Amino acid sequence: MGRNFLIEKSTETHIVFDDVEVKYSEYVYGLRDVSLKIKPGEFVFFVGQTGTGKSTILKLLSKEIRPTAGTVWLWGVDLESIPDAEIPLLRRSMGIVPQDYGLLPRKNVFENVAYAMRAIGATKREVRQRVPEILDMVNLGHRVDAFPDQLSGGERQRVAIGRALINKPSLLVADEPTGNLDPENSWGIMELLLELNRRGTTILVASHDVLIVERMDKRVITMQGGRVASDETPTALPLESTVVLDMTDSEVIENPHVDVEDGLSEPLDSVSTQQEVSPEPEAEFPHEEEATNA
Amino acid sequence: MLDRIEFLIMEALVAIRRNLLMTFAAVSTAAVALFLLGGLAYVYWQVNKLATDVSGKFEVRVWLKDEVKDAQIGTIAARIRKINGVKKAFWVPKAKEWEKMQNESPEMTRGIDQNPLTHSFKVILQELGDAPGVKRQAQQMPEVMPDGVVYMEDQQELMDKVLRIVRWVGGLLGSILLITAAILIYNAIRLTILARRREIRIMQLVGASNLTIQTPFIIEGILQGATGGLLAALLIKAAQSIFQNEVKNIMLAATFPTFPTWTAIALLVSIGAVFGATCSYLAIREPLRYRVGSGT
Repeated sequence: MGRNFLIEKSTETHIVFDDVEVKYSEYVYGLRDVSLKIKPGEFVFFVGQTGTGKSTILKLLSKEIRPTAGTVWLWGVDLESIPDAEIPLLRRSMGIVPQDYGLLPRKNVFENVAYAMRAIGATKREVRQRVPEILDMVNLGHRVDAFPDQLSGGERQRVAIGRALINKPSLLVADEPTGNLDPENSWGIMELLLELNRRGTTILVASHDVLIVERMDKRVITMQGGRVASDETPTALPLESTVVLDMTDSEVIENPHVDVEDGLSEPLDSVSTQQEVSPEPEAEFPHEEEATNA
Repeated sequence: MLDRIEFLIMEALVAIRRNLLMTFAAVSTAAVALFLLGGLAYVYWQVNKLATDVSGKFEVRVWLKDEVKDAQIGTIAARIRKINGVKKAFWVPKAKEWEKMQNESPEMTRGIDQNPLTHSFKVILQELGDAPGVKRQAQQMPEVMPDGVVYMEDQQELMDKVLRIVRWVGGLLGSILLITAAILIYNAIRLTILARRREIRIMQLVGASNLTIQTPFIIEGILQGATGGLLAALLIKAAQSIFQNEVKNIMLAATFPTFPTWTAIALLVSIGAVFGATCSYLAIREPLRYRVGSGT
């Protein structure tokens, strides 16, 4: 059944956007001339106001949206070359956390994750084994029997993230994961994403939560009018030292380019926006039956 | 594999449970439509068989003129027997025929004092196709009444007419109802899709295959159609036995062929299943396509 996206690829870049344009109508653009490169294991924030194209970028990756021009490459594979019938396969290579959690109200935490696993062909035994692991990973081991309406916003988001992990994805895409959460819960979610990132997962987050984005001190791509306005990679590493847990500090909002910890400001607009794109279209991947992924 | 099938069937059953009223409407309409179509097909089949059976016992009646005397019968019989295509010819004396008629239908013959019948011959043909030739030659005999040669021409036509009416009425009513049932099953599936859009979205999100997403809806359609077919078969069986009992009350001697219950059930259930599958397939084609938008 075509390319297998579940296999970790050894290409240098995980994701490449090459002059991508999304045009909704003659004058309405979702994205314009977006070129990006994201390396495996990166943690990238997409920020910007509503309608500037953050979600569009994420949706291009899962082929919910198609580019009207340009190319999106994932592990060296041109997404346009993936036929509709293989979109499920593509989506199994990533974890998608939707903005509204997308939980089933009549199923409890365990069943919500189990349902998604069953839907992609896992057996009951696999479900019994893997779901507790996942729920432990997202710190919900004690809430397995709770229904979504009994959960806090943060817990719901954890379920959604847990569900996104069922495919052991190399890429996790989250659209406004802290959009509806209070600062404390927001931070908890970010810590979870950081932990997943530490384990090697590439994480892409669309967010307008400036506070969180600043404190995370990760690569930030700012969108404006469908274009990349800035692409900043933090200079100060490692990330542990830059993480600040005290969420009461609000002065960071006033100067988004000031790093909380060391006070450094280093806008790097020119660094990655104009990067030369060199995808490898010849990189074809082993043919594998869909069944083996299940 | 079993695990997989179980998941898909459970999904379909959950969908039906959530959507009981619509399911009921779809199933009952499919049942009535298939009942009409199936029932009329059965009637058609029976009438058709009857028509064929009757042709097998094909006979021509030759009515003689009133003035023919008993003494002439012998020679007339000999002449009739000589006609090409005639196998046997029996004389039916008018007194005997009248007596028989009075016994069989007393209401019809009451009040008629004089025997209105004439002598006649019952002619058995060698072949069905000989009827027109025999009729022509017998009609030329001076002793035969004008238009006195009667065979099943009329009945055959009547049978034809009945068959045609059954076919038309059944076809028309059945089709209308079948279309209604199709719309209802289609609607039921669409409603199910609406009721289950969260599940569908999640399945699409985590990369469930199209087959996994679509199969429960097809199963739902098949179950609806097949249940409709089963109900239709049972309804036909019930209608047939009611009809049979009614007729037997009037005519004790009437015999009926055994109703092929299992064949009817198998046939209607499979027709219903195919019908339901088709309707649900049409219903899911568009809304379940992977497409732009997050589905919220």
